[in-house]
Amino acid sequence: MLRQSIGDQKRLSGEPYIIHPLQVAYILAGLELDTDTLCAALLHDVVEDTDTTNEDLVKEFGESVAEMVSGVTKLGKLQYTTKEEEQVENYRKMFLAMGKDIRVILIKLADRLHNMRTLKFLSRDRQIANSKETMDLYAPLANRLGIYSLKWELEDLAFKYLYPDEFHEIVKGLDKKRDERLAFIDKIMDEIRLELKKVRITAEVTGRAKHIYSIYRKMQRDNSTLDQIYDLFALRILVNSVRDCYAALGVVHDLYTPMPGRFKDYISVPKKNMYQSIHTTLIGPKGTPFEVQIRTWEMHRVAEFGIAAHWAYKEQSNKGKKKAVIVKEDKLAWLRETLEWQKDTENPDEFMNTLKKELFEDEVHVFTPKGDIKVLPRGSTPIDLAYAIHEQVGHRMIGAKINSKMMPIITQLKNGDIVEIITSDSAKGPSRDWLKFVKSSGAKTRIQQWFKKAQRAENIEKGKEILEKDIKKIGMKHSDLFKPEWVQIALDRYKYNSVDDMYASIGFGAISAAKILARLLEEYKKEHKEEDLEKTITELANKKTVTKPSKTGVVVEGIDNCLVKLSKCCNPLPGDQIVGYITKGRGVSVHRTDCANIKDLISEENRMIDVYWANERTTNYSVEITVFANDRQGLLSDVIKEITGAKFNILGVNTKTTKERIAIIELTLELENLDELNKVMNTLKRIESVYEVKRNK
Amino acid sequence: MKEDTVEKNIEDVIKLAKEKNRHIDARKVMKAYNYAKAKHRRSKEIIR
Repeated sequence: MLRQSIGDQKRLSGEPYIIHPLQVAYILAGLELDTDTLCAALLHDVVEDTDTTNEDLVKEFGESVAEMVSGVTKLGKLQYTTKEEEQVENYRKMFLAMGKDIRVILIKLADRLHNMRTLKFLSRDRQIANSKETMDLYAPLANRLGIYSLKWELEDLAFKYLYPDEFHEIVKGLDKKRDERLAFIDKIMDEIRLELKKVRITAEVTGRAKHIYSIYRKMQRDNSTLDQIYDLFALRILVNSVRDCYAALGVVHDLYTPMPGRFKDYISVPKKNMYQSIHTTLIGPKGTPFEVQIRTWEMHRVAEFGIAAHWAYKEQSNKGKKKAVIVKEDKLAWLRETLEWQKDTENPDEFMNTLKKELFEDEVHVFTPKGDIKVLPRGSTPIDLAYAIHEQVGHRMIGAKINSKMMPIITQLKNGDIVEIITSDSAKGPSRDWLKFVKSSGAKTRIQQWFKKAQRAENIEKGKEILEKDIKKIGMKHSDLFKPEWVQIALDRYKYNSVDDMYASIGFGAISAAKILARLLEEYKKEHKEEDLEKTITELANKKTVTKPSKTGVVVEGIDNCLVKLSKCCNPLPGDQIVGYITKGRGVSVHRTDCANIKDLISEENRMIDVYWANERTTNYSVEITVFANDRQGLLSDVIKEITGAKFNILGVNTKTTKERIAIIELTLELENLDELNKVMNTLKRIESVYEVKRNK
Repeated sequence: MKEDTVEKNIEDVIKLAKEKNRHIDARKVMKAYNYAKAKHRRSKEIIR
């Protein structure tokens, strides 16, 4: 029975739900946004959380508001195979909406910021998950859009929940010497103000503490303690004109010695996100370094509000006419390229990886022989530059000169390189190998599109071949699966107009054959629910009941001599609770009862069969585990020492360290049973700086 | 960081919006606020 409530909806914090949209709108009002954005912010959850439809919003508030709300509303109707796929599709939807109207992402960022401000009301798991997503996606996005006021706060909040100890340590450390540092910076500011006044430059000189997360990153990067970081404060000089920026730079360089290699002029070469400023680090009294940023008021506004500042300008220049701003400015080329690129990929992991790479990408500035500056992602090659100049330059490229010397076209470019692209009309077009070297998504997209167009026939053939091979692999025939109505379902799901389009897409690598196959199999299963299965089960059941273990050490209840495989998805070990699944023509596959895959299959009850571990030991088993630790010298050696010391065999090691200096060590071990696994995991947990050891699924 | 800041009400939002952008249509913003508030209030249905 449904009962109409008289109360308000409440958030986990206990506050009425309307408080959240209000705070989101307040953040956006601070960014000088317009009426429709504020309305969309206030309404941003109504479609997702209430019975309101998008049409209702169009009627009440107009297309623009309704479209923005739709852009931030999560997808609800489509069915996805995994949670990750669903999440990526939501990101993809958000990015598409952002391509139409950049204000969508501003609402999403403000929404995230308020959620982060109230994160303490959530469980620790959710705090970590949300903070990770903020650090991985939303803060870099704010950075890319140049909205530093949001970026810093998002990072500091996420940092606080991800690394609470480190966060509080820095805060405590900053408070301790606060007065001393303030006195230092006040003195410097007074000196600069005085000198600027003497040369008649009107300026505002302010000092600010650096953000906590940026201090932490610096400590990690330089392997230093808080006491060893001197430029915890940065000075900012705001002036009226570009000419005054350079004049003020002269003044401060006259007053203090500049630190070599610490000067950046983002005024003459702005960042991709439109940021402009001069940065210089100077040596102050007693040799203490401090950073100074010099920019105009307008540049400052752009630095704080980023794309939002740009948007507000467009609106003013339209004299209040309400118009969605299409992302077409060159300065947002990266976004446009990402959106272009994402149309060509169906693989969610690849989409997310490229998106994250794009967001974190550092830049390199190179020159054309005519002196034009091109900004490319770090690690770019002359191929990236050729495509950044023009698609046809890329397609016709046959070589490159870097600083007047002929160089391989896969050479990584450095800041300040002068690069000449050599083209020929008789060039055969790009090579597939180029895709391995290019860094910019723009170049990648254009090369892929070239192959898509130029080699369609070849791709169709290749796609057919790949799909046929995969069908054979699962022991089926083309005719079993290719019923027109099932094929149509797959075409609709992945938005292909024809079967040839689908084959071409497989051949060209935009979608995997396995994905198409999964869709077709789903339909097949619906129709052939039990037919073949009955046969297999009868065959198995008719066999003699001799409980002899297979080579894997697993006994299949009542069946001897049947093919038994330990599934690779969960790598079961003696001691694990296990269950058997009768596959089609490939014997019994053994899974852990907590395996995610078996949970999906559990509905097919009559394919499940009881299995258990034999008492006698028949073999060793490979198990994959992952160790998470704060990186330190000698960590890997300690891990290996502990394992070998306990007389366990290591079959493989794979290590990496994240930007946050988290060491991730993946180990493949040879073990006899679960007890051994528990023993080794407990041993590893005791190693200094290790905070988590988990068995891979 | 502004964790635990004082919550803003709709008057605060409109006041700040007007300070920052003189083209703001306060009536439309207020309408959106009232609409959202009513919708969220109505939607809390409990299955018994």
